[in-house]
Amino acid sequence: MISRSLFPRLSFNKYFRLGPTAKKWFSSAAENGFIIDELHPSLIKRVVKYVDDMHSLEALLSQGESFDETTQKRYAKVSFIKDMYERYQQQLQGLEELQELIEEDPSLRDEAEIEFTRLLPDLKGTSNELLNRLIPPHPFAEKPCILELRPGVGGIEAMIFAQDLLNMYTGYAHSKRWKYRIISKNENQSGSGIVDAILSIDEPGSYDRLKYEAGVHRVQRVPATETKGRTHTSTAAVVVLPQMGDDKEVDSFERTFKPDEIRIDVMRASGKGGQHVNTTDSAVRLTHYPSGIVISMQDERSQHKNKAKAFAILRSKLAEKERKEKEDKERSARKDQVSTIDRSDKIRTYNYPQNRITDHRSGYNLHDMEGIMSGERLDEVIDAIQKFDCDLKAKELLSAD
Amino acid sequence: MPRISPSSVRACNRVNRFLRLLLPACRTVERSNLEFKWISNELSSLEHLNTNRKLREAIYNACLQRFRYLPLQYILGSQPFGSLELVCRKGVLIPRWETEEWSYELAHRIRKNATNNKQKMVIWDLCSGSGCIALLLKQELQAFKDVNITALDISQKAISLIKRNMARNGIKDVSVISADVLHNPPNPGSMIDILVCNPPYISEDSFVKETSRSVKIHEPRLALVGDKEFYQNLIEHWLPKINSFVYEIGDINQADFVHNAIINDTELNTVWSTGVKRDANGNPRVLYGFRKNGKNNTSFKYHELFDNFGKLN
Repeated sequence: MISRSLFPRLSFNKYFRLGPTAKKWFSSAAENGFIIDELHPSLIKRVVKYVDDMHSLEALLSQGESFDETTQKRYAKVSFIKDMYERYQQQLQGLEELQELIEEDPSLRDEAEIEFTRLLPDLKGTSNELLNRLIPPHPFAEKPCILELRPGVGGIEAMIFAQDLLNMYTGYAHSKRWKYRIISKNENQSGSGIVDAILSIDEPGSYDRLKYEAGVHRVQRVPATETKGRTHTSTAAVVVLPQMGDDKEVDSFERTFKPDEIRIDVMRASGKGGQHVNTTDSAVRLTHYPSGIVISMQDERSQHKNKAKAFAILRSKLAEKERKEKEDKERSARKDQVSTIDRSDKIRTYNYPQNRITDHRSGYNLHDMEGIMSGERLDEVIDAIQKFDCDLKAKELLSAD
Repeated sequence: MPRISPSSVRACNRVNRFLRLLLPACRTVERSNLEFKWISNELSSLEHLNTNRKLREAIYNACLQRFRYLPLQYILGSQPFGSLELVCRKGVLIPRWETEEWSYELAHRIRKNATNNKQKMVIWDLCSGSGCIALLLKQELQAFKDVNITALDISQKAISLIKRNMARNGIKDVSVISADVLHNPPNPGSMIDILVCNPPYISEDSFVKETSRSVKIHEPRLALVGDKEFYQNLIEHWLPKINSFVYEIGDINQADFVHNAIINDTELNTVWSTGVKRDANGNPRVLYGFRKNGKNNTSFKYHELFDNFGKLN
């Protein structure tokens, strides 16, 4: 009887609170934005392991044993993690209680909501700190980034898709109020689409968000160029690089290379040159012999600026390459079998007929093509992958010892 | 010059109807596209072209002028030069990328070889034109307060343009002198450390045969056509007054001329070393020379300044 009498009241509350525009398929807490970001279970498992470790160390200590330096360091680390974890649990519990209050007691709801929003950042801070202790942050996490887009298979349709992706990322940067500029863009001569484009997003930390975008993006749709209404599959590739240093450092960076490592070509026609011609050609081609990287830049009227841009990109590419090599080395040293995000090539499918975006790494689906392609809901996809990546890293950690 | 193929005209028409106007000067569709992008970018940032109609008209006019081989630098009124943005006006030579290349390198070398910030130096730039070399050197050497730079030109248009360019780029303390270097060279008063010059170096013959149409029609002949006058003038007038020189050349003959004059003079050949630097395209571009043992001012080691700058003769 009690449950039957409770039920209509609850549903009425729900309706009353949310208004007619509320969507039905979310839980009520989620709808109000009162979501608690809990740590992933495998991370918790990891923490519990540390806490156990802590207890055994304490047991040793109580037996009167003295620690050597490494054990002492470990003891310090695990005790810090334990403290953090206890704090995390406390805050989590507090928030969960508040959540319950919000849902069930309308009289205290307003106060509970205020309290909830006040305490949520604390939990986030604690869980972030815990996360950083457990998973070392990415070396370029704080950097701004450069996105390089290139069409893959699929001819002109792939070029159009690359253009769509470029719009998506500029839209994303725009919606986040990040500063961005298109460093270089070569449009398809005979019609629409791009041959390649480089987009620089100057917000520190944007690399950390966008690094998951690297890889091959696949599109399935009826192209504008198709006359018989058949669905095509095309691809475009995205490369994400960290931005190293600012423009002012380029000059000194340029001087770190030995003359035989680097070659700068200006692409010009034959002839006498000098005062004989007044060309506007300012294209620069940079070749870095040790890595085989070649960068061409021609967008600016100033040769000087083209060269600076080319060097900035070279610097990013070298940094990313170095990081990848280091990571691969570490991985092969551990010989682990856990698959990682970096290796899977085809990362995402954009299926227009079904209005669906699928991320192949996390298996996340989103049914809102417009929202994604305008960049406004890209965050949700990235959130999903970020969680997935975190999970993977946690698993990797668990298998490491 | 090969004619423009109808297919590239059609390719241009597919993009937009102004683009084909750029073809004669640009030669390829790709370059036309790039120039069109620059034209529309720069014009759309101008405030008085605030309506679409005005902007379109301005772009059309710019393309039409380009169709008549007017250099893009005159149409847009500027040319980037190193870190500078120089104003270009009809009647004054447009700065070339070759000049940018060597003067940038020279500036870097001076900076590297200077003993400290108090390095004293006197630099004269003859035939300055838009003032590109003098202003770039000043800009790159702004940390050195005792570097004195003087720009000279015979043309009044050039003189006023140099002043304008100084104002535009926020550069101070470059002396500007109006002078006829060939017939009435001014007296520097003290020893010049580096004499730079981009003289007119296209011979009459080469002006007809090898000079591009845009240059021939629209750039000042005064700044282009010359044979060996300025190199003769260098040997006769300037050599005793300077420690080193850097002259742009259009032809290896001009370098040989100066080199031979020095070699054949029993006094000069004991004092001077000369060399030729090539540009990134492989053409001989710069003739330079320095006293083997600097005169008066021994604090600066010229053989180190010009070490590997080009190939010594």
